[in-house]
Order: sequence, then C-alpha cells, then structure tokens
Amino acid sequence: MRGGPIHVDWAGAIGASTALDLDPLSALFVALTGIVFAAGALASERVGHRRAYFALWDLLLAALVATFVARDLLLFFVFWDAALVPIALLIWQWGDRDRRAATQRLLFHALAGSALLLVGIISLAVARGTLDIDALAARRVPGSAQLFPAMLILAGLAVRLPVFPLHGWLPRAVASAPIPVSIAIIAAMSASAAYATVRIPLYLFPDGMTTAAPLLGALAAVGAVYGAVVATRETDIRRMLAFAAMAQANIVALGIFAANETSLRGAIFASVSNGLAIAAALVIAGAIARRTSSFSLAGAGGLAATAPCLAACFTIASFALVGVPGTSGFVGTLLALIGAYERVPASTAVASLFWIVSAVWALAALRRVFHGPPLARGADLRAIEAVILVPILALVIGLGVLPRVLNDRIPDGALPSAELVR
Amino acid sequence: MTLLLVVALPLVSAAMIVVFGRWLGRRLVALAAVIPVALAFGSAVSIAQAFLAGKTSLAADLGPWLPLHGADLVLRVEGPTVPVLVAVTFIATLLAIAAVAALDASSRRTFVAINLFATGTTLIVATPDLILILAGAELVAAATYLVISLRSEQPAAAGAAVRAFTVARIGDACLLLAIVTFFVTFRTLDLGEIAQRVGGFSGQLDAVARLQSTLFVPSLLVLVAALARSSALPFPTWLVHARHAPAPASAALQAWPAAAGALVLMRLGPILHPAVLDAAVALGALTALYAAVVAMAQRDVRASMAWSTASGAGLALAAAGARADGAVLLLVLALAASRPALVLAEAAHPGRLRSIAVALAALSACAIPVTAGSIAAASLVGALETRPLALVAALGAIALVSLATMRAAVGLIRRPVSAGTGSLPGAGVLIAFAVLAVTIDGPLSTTMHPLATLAAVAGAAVALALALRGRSTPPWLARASAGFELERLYRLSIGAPFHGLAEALGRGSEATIERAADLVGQSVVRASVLLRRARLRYASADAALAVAAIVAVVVYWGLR
Repeated sequence: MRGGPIHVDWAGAIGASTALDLDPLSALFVALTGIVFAAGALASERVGHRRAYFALWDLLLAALVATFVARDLLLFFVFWDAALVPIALLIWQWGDRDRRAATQRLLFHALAGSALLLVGIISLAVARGTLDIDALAARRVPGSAQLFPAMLILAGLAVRLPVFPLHGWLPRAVASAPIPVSIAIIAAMSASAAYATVRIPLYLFPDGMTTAAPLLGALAAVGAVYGAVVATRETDIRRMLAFAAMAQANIVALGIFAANETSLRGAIFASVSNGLAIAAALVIAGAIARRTSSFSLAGAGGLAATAPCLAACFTIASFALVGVPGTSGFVGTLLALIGAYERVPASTAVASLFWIVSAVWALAALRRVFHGPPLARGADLRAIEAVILVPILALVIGLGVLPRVLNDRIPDGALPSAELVR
Repeated sequence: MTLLLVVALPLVSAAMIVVFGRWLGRRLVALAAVIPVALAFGSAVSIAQAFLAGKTSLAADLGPWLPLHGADLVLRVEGPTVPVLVAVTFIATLLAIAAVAALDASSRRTFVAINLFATGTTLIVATPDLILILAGAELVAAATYLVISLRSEQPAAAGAAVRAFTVARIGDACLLLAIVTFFVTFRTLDLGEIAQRVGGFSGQLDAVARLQSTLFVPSLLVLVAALARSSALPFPTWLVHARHAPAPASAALQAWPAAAGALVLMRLGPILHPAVLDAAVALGALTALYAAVVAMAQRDVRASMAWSTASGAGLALAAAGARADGAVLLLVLALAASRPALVLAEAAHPGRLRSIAVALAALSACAIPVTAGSIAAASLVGALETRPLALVAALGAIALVSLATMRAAVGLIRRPVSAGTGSLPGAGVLIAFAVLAVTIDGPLSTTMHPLATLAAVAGAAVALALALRGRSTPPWLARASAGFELERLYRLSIGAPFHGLAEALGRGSEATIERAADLVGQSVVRASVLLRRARLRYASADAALAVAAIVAVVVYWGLR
C-alpha cells in the first residue's frame, strides 16, 4: 500500500495546509530515526516511572518523524518545536545532576533559534502567500533577496545541527541526560536538523545559500576541528562523545553548505553514519559505566581483558566516528570533503585536520578504557547489549563496504543541488 | 576471482577473529588465522603460474563502490607486482604459524594484526583505485596500533601506540587531500587513467609546465604521506616502540608497515611532480643514514633491529623517489624476509639451528653478496648513480646498518637465550625465513655492485672485529641511542602545544560560549521585565500589539 502525498487545506488565509509526503530522502531519515529509537528504547532498562518515560519517548519519536514528512512550513515548525517538550521533560525528570541547568540551556538555545525560524516562516507567508514547500520552490524568491530569509531559517536549524558556535547546549545536555535521551538528541535531532537544512534553505533559497557558502563552510570546518580538539581533553566519556558527534555533524554541515551532488550525498551518508555510530558508542558508554560505576575515563582501564567483545564494538563505533575505511563514516566524510573541495577548497583543507585530530581522541579513549593497565574488571557483552549493538555495527560496516545500498536509494533528482536548480 | 581471494581472505580472517574470537577456542582461532592466509598464498601462487605461462595482466572488478568516477572496487595486477603478492602472503603465513607456536593471551590481536598487514599491503600494490590505496594504508595503520599497544602496561608504550597512529593519520589525511585534489583536477580516481593523462602531455612543453604546477601541491601531500607512513624524517620513528610486543607481532611490524610508505610512493610515482620525487630521494637517503647511526648506538637487539629496519625503509623511499620500481620491490622483499627472521630468532631456543638461521638472515640484512639483500642494495645503488649526495648517504647507511646488524647477530649467536620457546613450528618458521632471506630476490645470483658490496663488507668486517675484541658502544655514540632526541622534540613542539590548546579550548571557549548564552538570556529576561513594567505603567496591552504590528509591517516591506 503506497499512499501518495497528502494535501489538505487547513488555514488558507495564511497559506498553511496539511501537506505530508515521503520521498526517498525523508524515508532514509525516518528509517534511521526508527533504528536509533529502537536502540534507545532497548537501552532504557533501569528507568523509573516507565509509563511516563515511554509515553514521552514515543511523543518525541512522533514529533521527529513528523518533521521528516511535513511538506508545509508551519506544520514543520509545529513539530520542530513540539519535539522540544518531551526532550526537556525527559532531561528534567530523568537526568543526572546538573539536569536543570542543562535543560534550561537546551531550551534557551533551541527556542532562540526557533524564534528566528518563526520570523523567517512568517515573512515567507506574508511575501508569497503560501507555506507549502513545493509551491514555494516552484516560485522562488528572486535571487538577490534570498540571502536574508535563508539566514533566518538557517539560524533556527543550525542550533540543532549543531554548527559551531551554536553548540553550547550540547555537552551539558548529553552529560546530564540518560543515555537513551542522549542518543535521541545527538542521533535523531541532529539528523532532523540536517534533513531540514537540505529540505528548506537549500531547496527554497539556493542562491542565498551559495552566496553565504564560503562563510558557512568556514564555520563548519572550524567547528569540525574544534569539536575533535576539545574531545581529546574530555574525561567524561559522554562529553567526549558529544564533542565527537558535534565534529562529525559539522562535516555534515560542510557537505550541505557546499551544495553539490557529491557533497550532499556525502553529507546524508555522514549524517546516517553519525547517527548509527553515536547510538552504538553511547550504548557502550552506558555499558562501561555499569561496569565501572562512573562515566569517567579515569575509572576504567584494561577492560579488553575481560570484555573483548565490548572492546571490539567500541573500536568499530569509534572508527566509524573517526572515518576509518571500511566503516560508513569514511564514505560519508570522503564524499563530503571531495564535493566540498570544489566549492570551498580552503575550508576543506582545514576540515581534513578533523581527520587527524579525531584519531587522537578515539585511540586515547580506546587505550585508556580497554587496552591499558587493568584497573577495572567487567563482564563481557550481555544479551541485551549484544542485541542492540550487533545489528547497528553490522549496518555501519555494511554501509562502509557497500555504500551502494544507500546511494542507490537516493535518485539523482531527489537532491536539491545548486547546479540542478539553477 | 583468485586475485580477490588473495586480497580479501586475510581480511575475512581478521574479521572472523574479531567477531567470533571469544567463542572459538585457542586452536580454532589459530586455524582461523592461518588457513585463510595460506589459501591466499595458494591463490597468489596460482596467479604467478598463470603469469609465467604468458598472462600479462589480471583484473578483478567487483562493481561500483562510491558514486565517483574511478572509485570502483577494482583490483589489477601486472607482471612486476605478482612476486610481491606471493611474497606478502607467504611471509604472512609464516608469521601466523610463528604466532601459533607462541600462543598466549594476546594472540588474538597478533593474528588480527598479521592478517590486516597482509590485506593492507596487497591492497596497496594491487589496485588502481586511489581510494582503495588509502584504505590499504589505513588498514596497515590500524594494525600498527594493534601491535604497538600489545603488552602496553607500561604507560610509555601505550602513549606511543596513539602517537604512531596519529602520525600515520597525518600521512593519510595528506593522502586524502591529495586524492581530493587529483579528483577535482582530473575528474577520475583511477590511477591508470590519471597516469595516461599526465604522460600524454609529454610532447607539448607549455602544457607540461601548466600540468606540473597543478601537480605540485598534491605531489607534496603524497610525499608527506609517504614520509609519515615510513616514519622517515621529519617524522619520529615509531618502529622502536614495538619492541615490547611478543616476537611474532614485533616481527610483523618490522616486515611491512615501514615499506608501506615506499610502496605508496612507488604506485603514485607516475603522477607526481619531479621536484617532489627528488626531495623524496634526498629525505629517504637522509633518513637511512640517520636511522643507521642511531641503530649503531643501540644496546638492545630488538631496538637495533627496529632502527635498522627504519633505515631500510628510508632506502626504499629513496628508490621510489628515483622511480626505480624494481629496486623498491627488491628492497621491500629483502627487508620483509630478513628482519622478521632476526626478531623471531631473538626469542627462540638456542642451538645450532638458530645460529645458522641468524647467520643467514644477518648475511642478507647486511647486504653481503650472494644474498637477496645484496641484490637489492646493488639495484638501489645502481638507481642512485646519478645523484652523488644521495649515493654517498645510501652507501653510508648500508655500511652502518651492516655494522649494527652484524654486531646484533654476533650477540645473538653468542649469548644464552632469555626465554625460549623451542617448539617445532617455531624452528621451522625460522629456517624458512632464513632461506627466504637469502633467496627471495631470485636464485642465488651474483649480481653485485662494487660500491654496495664494498660498503656492506666493510661494515660487517668492522662489526666482527669489534665483537671479537669485545669492545662495546663508545660513549660519544651512546648519546645518539634515543634517536637524537627527535621524539622528545616532537612531544615538546607538537604534542604539548596541542594538549595545551585542547585544554584552553575546552575550558576557555566553552566557558565563553556558555557565558555569552547566559548574557543573551539574561538580557532577554531583563527586557521582558522592563516590558512588563512598562505595560503595567501604561496599563494597556495595546502598546505591545502596536510594537508587534510595526515589526511585522517592517519585515513585510523589507521582503517585498
């Protein structure tokens, strides 16, 4: 049963309608969200007040999936902000110490961005009379006037990607939230921001994005290197992974801002890879914490002796975040960099530093937790951890060896690359 | 198909051990490690037979990989590279058997490392796809990390493993950028196509000049990549840190990774800028000399072996820069056969068998005539004849390495063993290696180059004389034993500032960003308080509505 796009007029006076459509790109991201949320649900073993928790969890899933299928800007905005409610409640109630401050910062950053996003959306409604994405794309704003609305909308989306320097909310949120919520934040929310950046600013305002590409590319490149550098000094494994994911997300952003066919494919691939790898890595972080009763890197050591499968899993997950060939992270990063070099060569050269520095945090963590002198003992993978990790990591390696599986699902015309559109 | 087996079987073996190693017993893991690589060796031999019967090239195409032109999963070999495949798989099999003979708790990592080395090296020589060359180099780097981190309870060794991988990563990042540049310039990632296009310009002078200037930057990047891979100057040598690892792993590390840089340079040679190639020759020869001097100053046999291998890798790099592909292959093969033999012998049971093996391997490592090492040295010196400075440096390196190796070998034969294993497979592997060391570059031939022979024999003779007289390292030389403190220089100049930067960013800029966000938040709160007070004072919400309406109208007019 394959339904077509849904289009129901809703508030004609402001041009809003209920428009939903599932095209190859959004289907890909919905699948990623499903996998990530399944992993997170399985990893939520020891939470209290399970009914409330899982109700909020499912609300979050519904809101995020709706952002992928919404084809109307207002509808998108409603679900975009609706996702904040479950996340805030989940961190506020189920988080670690420092959860109040973390929630406040998260909400503040996200809502500030959403305010700008709303202004952009309203201005579009007023200027064009419709909020349907496809209708807006058919009749674009003239090229010279595209920069301002593009930047307004991008500001809202970039907070959640997160692009440097709007990432201030991420480390604290990940350090305070329970592991499954961190997975949802980094993997799914970041993916939804990446998808939205491709679908809205790039699709509707290609000339504006092209004008701003050098500056945006520079920000993304700096962000990638910054995230990797700061990840090397973190001693809390969750914060380290947060910065590593932020670095990888900035590579995704670099690919999106460069906006040609190869770099967009690379960005999407890297986004999917980032989501999968960070989900696996965070689950492993939770597993390590359960064995060493803290999230600190200093508490663990030499775990590979008693937990070799866990060590192998962490190796694969961190290699995927770092971009070692054979994992999906390599394919995504490579394609994004190759594509971005044509548009923003200097930023790409800077971004390649990310490749070097990321090896430092990955190997330092690997060595400290698993390969060093034995400071901790822990049982090897339990059944439920294996059930979560093995399919995800198999997918990571499978996509790294056979990226065709993903690339063929995105037909050439589905990507709004700037050349196609002009 | 057989070509695919040669490259892929060791990788499959490594994957199986990683995934299932926990549940298979020790014996099954050993079987899983040895059998695939032995099968790969069998496939390589059958390919060699086909080539001897008249085939000129063999290709295996697995289909498209990345959506870029030329980035397909393709393997291709031609005549000269077939012996490398045979040799790599054979030596990997021998090393795996040696690792089986020395089974202990860290064997799994050793097996995985040996198999990854085999796959990585065969991938580098057997594929025309630039990305796959990068993938092969990365596999070798990962295996290097695995080996150096074995038995890394000493914190110094553990940090060294991370540093080794980081240096390799720097090289790979440069290679990646070079590949990106090549793709953007030539729109293809196939090495053969790029070489054709570069060579096709050789007629027109101005086209050559323009092309060379485009090629300069990527060539420089490739050079840096090759230098980092081979741990040549100006990168610090990471080879010496593997000496804590058990013998088979340490032997594997000495066989292949250092050669990887020279192999990459050799494969990409046709598309590189000539000035960069000259720089490669100079740096390679300089590295060889530097490493040889440091090798002489070592007291530990394994450390001396490691530095001699680094010197050999420098010579291979120089040969690659001189575009003498034959010399590169000969050097790499001789290195791969003689060094592991000496390392394995160091941990083996004493006896006449071991002494003979050590003697044979040492003769080859010293490039004494009638061994593989001498053939390799001869072809290298022949290739460098037109570059006097590099020639002198290479000859010096040959002589000094010969000195160091002979001294180490004499020490090995003389002293009682520390912890021997004395198992039959171990002894068999040792003898196999020793024979290989002598014969790997062809049957016992008498190809000699007078200068090379002179240097080698002189070095060996001095070593024998010193050993017979019982002299030890002179004090002025002992200061060089830490590699002229190059590594500490790196740690101070790069490592420390990097960690300082990370600390500063982590503490400083993160705090600044949070404070900025707090500031904006506080100003918003303060503005809302002001608004509320204003509204209460004027007791009407109409002012707020008026402000909102003005904002909307301004935005509308701005967008029209």
